[in-house]
Amino acid sequence: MIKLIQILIEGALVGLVYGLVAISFVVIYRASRIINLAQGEVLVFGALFLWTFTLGLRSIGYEMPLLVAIALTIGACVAFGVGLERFVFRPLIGQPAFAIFMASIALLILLRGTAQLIWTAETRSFPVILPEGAFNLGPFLINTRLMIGGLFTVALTMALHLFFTRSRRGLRLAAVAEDHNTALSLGISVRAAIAIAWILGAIVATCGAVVLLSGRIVSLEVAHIGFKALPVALLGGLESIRGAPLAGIIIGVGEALAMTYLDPHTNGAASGILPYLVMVAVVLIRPQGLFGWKKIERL
Amino acid sequence: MTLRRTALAAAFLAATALPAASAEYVMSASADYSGPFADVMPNAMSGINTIVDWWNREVGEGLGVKVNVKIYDMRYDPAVIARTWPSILASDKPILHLGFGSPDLTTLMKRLPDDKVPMLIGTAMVGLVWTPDGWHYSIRPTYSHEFAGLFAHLQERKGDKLRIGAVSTQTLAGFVDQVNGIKHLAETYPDRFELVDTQWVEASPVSVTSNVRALAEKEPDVLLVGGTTAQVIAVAKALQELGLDIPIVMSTHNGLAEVSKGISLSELEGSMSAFSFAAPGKAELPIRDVFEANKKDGEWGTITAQSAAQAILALRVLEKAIETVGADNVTGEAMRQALLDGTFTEADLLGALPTVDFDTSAPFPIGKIKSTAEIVVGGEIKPLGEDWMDVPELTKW
Repeated sequence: MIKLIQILIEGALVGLVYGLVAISFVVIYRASRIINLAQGEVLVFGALFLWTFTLGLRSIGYEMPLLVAIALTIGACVAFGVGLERFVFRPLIGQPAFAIFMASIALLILLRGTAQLIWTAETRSFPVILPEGAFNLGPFLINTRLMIGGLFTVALTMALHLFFTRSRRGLRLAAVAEDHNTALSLGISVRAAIAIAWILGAIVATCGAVVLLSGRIVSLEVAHIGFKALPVALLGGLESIRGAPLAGIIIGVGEALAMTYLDPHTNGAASGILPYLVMVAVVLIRPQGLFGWKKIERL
Repeated sequence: MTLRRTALAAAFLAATALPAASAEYVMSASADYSGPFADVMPNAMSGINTIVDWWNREVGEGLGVKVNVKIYDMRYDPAVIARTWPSILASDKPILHLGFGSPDLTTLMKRLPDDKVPMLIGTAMVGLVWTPDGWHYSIRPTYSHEFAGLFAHLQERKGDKLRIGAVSTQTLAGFVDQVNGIKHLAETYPDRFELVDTQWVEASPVSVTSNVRALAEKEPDVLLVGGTTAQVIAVAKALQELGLDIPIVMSTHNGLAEVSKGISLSELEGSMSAFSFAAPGKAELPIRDVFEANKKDGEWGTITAQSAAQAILALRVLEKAIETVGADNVTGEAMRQALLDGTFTEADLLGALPTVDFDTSAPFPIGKIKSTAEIVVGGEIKPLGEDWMDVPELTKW
C-alpha cells in the first residue's frame, strides 16, 4: 500500500509539471483560440533566456544577482511573447483554423532553428533555482524540486483563476475568449488582450522550464515536454486554467501506474503512449475536455 | 662556367633527391557544427586535422603522397548528408569518408558499395547495421561490446555474477539496440551476467525516481544508462534522493565529460564511461604527444582522442594501400582492401586504439576485441586501469 501511495505521489508531482506547461497552452488558447504546437520551443527559449542571464553572463565575467536575472528573463519573455503575437499570429487573425495550425508548426521549426542559431545546439548546465534532493513525509519520499514546483503550479492556478474572474483586465481577456466580435463591440482591444495572453504563455512556460530543469541541463530536446503537456491541456479543457493541473495529475498518476504495472509487460510502451491515448479519447468522446467550455448556440 | 655547372648539378641532385609529392588524395569528413554535437566539434575536427597534418609531414612526404581533409557540416542530419554526398563524390573523389555517427551510417551504408568509397566512423557501432560485406566500418565495436568489456572487468573483480540494471529510451533504435546487446550478453554468459531489469523512460525525463526505485529493488551492481546525458543526470539525482550508491555506466556521447556540464563530478563518484579507444588521460599515450606537439587549435579530451584515433587508423590504412597498389593508384576499393588485409597494431596506431583487425563479417574490429573505461575518483575523471579490457565474445543479436 505504501508503495502504491508513493507511486501516486510521484505521479501527481510529475503530472503537476505537465499541468504547469499545459497552463501556458490554456492562457494562449483562451484569448486567441490558437493551440500553439510550438509551446515546447517557447519553454526552451525561456530556459535559454534564464541561462543567458545567469550562467551565460557568468561565463564571460558578469555575475548578476539571481533576482535581477529572473527579472531580465521575464522582460525577455514579455518581448518574446509580444514578438510572437505581433509578427506571427496577428496577421493570421480571421484566417482559417488550418492556416493557424500550419503557422504554429512553422513556428516550431523556426524557433528550433533560431535557438540553434543564437545559442548553438550545445547542452548547457541549467542554474539551480529550486532546492535539490528529497525529504521524508512519514513513510513517503518527496522530491523537493517537484514538490515546490507542484505547490507553485497550484498557487499560479489560483492566481490566474482570480485574475481571469476577478480583475478588470482578466475579465476583458475572458470576454475576448468568449467572442472576439462581442469583445470589440464592448470597446475591448482584442489585439492587446491576445498580446497579454502570449506574454503570459511565455512566462508560464518559462516557469515550467525552471521546475523541469533546475539543477539539470537544457538542450533543444527539452521541447518534447510540449507534446507531453498538450494531452493534459486537452483533457483539462483548453479554456480551463483550473483544469490543467487536475488533468496533469490524472495523466501523471496514470503514467506512473502504467510504468509500474504495465511497462514490464509491454517493454516500456504503455506509459509512453498513455497520454496520447487519453488525447485521442478526449477528442473523440469529450472534445471540450473535463472543464472546457461547452458552446451552446441558439438556432 | 665550372661554377655554373656545379650549381646546376647541385640543383639537379637536390631536385631528384626530393620525393615528388605526385599524389594527392582527399579524405572527406562529416562534421556537426550546428546539431547536437556542435559544442565538441572544434575539438573533434582538430583531432583529425592535426594528425593528418603531422602524417603529411612525417610520413606522406616520404611516400610522395599528400592527404587533404575536406570537412563538411552535415548537421548530424540524414537529409543534409543525402543531399551533400553526391557533390562530395563528384568534386572531391574521396578515397575514404570519415563519418560521424548514425546519420552517416543510415544514409550512406547502402550506397557506399556502389560508390566504391569506404567509410570509417569514430563513434561506436550499433547491432542494427551489423551486416556482412559492407563498406561502412567503425574504429570501435558496438556500444554493447564496449559495455561488455567493462562489465566483464567488473564481474571478474566481483568474483560473482554481475547484476545489471538498465535505463534507456525507446525513442532511438540505437539505444534499444544497446540494451538488446547486453541482454544477449547475459543470455550468452548466464553464470557471469544478469540483466535484472530495464526501465524505459523519456530522453529528457522529468523524474526517474520511480524507475530507479523499481530497479533498486532488483539489487543491481551497476546501472547502465547508455542513452542521453539528461537521463544520466536524472538517474544520478534519483539515486541521491533514494540514498543509493550504485555506479552508473555510460558511453562517450553521454559520458562523464558531457555529464559534468550539468552535474558535479563529486555526485558521480564511482560512475564510469566505457569505450574502446585509449582513455585521453592514459599515462603513456603517444598520439596525445603528437597532438599536443602539432595542434593549431582545440583541446585534448575524449572527443579529440576519438577523432585522432579515427584519423590515424585511416592513414595507416592508406599506407597499407600504397604498399599494395603504389602511391599513384590508391582508390576507395584499394583502401577497403587494405583495411581488410591489414592488422593494425597498437604501436602503429600510436596507442590510440588496441590492435585492430577487420574482415567482411562485421563493420567493426573482429577477433579479440578490447575496450577501456574511465571512472570518477575523488571528483576527477581517471582511466580505469592502464590496460585494455577483454571483451567477451558476442555473436550477432
